[in-house]
Amino acid sequence: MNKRDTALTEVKMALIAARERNEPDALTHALSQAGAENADAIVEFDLGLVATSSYGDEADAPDVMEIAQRARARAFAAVFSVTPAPAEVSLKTLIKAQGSTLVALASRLGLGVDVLSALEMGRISLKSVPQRLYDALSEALDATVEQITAAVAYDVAPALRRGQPGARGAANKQIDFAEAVISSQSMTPEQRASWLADSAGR
Amino acid sequence: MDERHGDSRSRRRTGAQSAISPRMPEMADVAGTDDARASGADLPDTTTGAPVALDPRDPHTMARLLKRTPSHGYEVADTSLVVAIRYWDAKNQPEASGILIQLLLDRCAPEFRRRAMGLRQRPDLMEDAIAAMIEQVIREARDPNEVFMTQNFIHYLKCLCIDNFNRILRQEGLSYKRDAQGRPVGRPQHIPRALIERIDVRLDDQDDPVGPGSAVADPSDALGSRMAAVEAQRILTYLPDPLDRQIMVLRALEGRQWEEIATICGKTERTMRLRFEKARTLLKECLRAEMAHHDSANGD
Repeated sequence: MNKRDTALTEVKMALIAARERNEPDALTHALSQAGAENADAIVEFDLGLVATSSYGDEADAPDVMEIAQRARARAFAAVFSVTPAPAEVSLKTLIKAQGSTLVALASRLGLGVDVLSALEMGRISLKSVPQRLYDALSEALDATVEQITAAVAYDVAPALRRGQPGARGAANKQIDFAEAVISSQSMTPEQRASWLADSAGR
Repeated sequence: MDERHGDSRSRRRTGAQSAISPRMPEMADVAGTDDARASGADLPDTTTGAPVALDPRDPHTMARLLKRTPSHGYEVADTSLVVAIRYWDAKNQPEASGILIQLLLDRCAPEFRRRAMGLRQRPDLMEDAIAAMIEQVIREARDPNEVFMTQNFIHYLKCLCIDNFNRILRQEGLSYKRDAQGRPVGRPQHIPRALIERIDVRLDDQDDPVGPGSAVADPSDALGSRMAAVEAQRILTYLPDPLDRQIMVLRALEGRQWEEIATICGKTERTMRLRFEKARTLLKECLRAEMAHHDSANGD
């Protein structure tokens, strides 16, 4: 790659920094740094920066997550002949990493500790877990939705994943999230109703 | 340039150009950076005193890699992850580098989605954009000659995402074009409402400037906003004098007061008003001619 392109990238990164500092002459300065031959590229870049800066929660919508998942699979296939194994991160690891406990997390989510424990043990069917729980876990554990999804999926059949003997029947013993909530011994009727309302749509 | 990777392929420095040694990063490199010190990525081995690589196969290290700071950052910086990925790659340990790549991508994922959200109405394009972003991050994280990643990862990532977003727009013909002489071509795709209103309104009525946020057709639609902004730039290229373009941007798009514009441009307020009026008339004529040309070309 030639020197001009490297210089252009440096200007772009400086422009991002200047925009973050709300410098009024950020673009003007970038244009003067980039030179006339790169003026269009810098203007285009600045417009792209502005246009892509206004999205927050929308980016976690289920359809967007699916698109992102497909994109990731495509990118891995393009780079690796064999896709690297996912990081073996369980829900327990995430909870521990944030210095929290199962009880504290359950309380924060308004969910029974027995339900959360069942999820952590991989006894709840993934398909039945409502999106709201992923979002709530993501917020409570300060983790990306990808990390939560991977952790919950990792927990589903840890014995199977690790090739432990006699684990083949584990998947058959899974229950739905709604069943776990209904049979929870540690939830108030309001909490139960709230979570069941979410899982009803699934 | 391989378009698939967008402009940000330019981040790669050749060994000759690089101000930073192009050799494979050793953990001693990690130990030499403030970032690494802050992240704790170079905890010394208690027996040898040598820096130890971040090994994600170790449960304690994995816990550290996931730990967040009160400001929602990560205790182990993204930059340290990149250095560790390169380290394990150099040691031919694909399992360790693979896990670290997955962790890095998990961290980057929200940014990928946010930056591609303007393409949500075209899921195929959104997928293309995100796949290209991810692929580029993977390739560059494993490339020891790439230097921007370890300079400022957040800015690097934004830059990469925007370049790929723009590349998709260009591929789809959604960005503005010029002919061989540098003149704008094509019909306005998304003329900013505010710009047109400012052009069409009498000068005397323009003392209540519009804010920058209203300078686009639909502020809630980022792609529309971008196209409007691009189109504004294209339209303004009809004005041959840079001062006229500057006045038009300051007044019509940024909504600044005449007094302020006069100060910025170093001219009198009256001059600003007169030049704006002339520029406005010229732009109206150019747009009318452009529309008429397009309609006749389409047989309307």
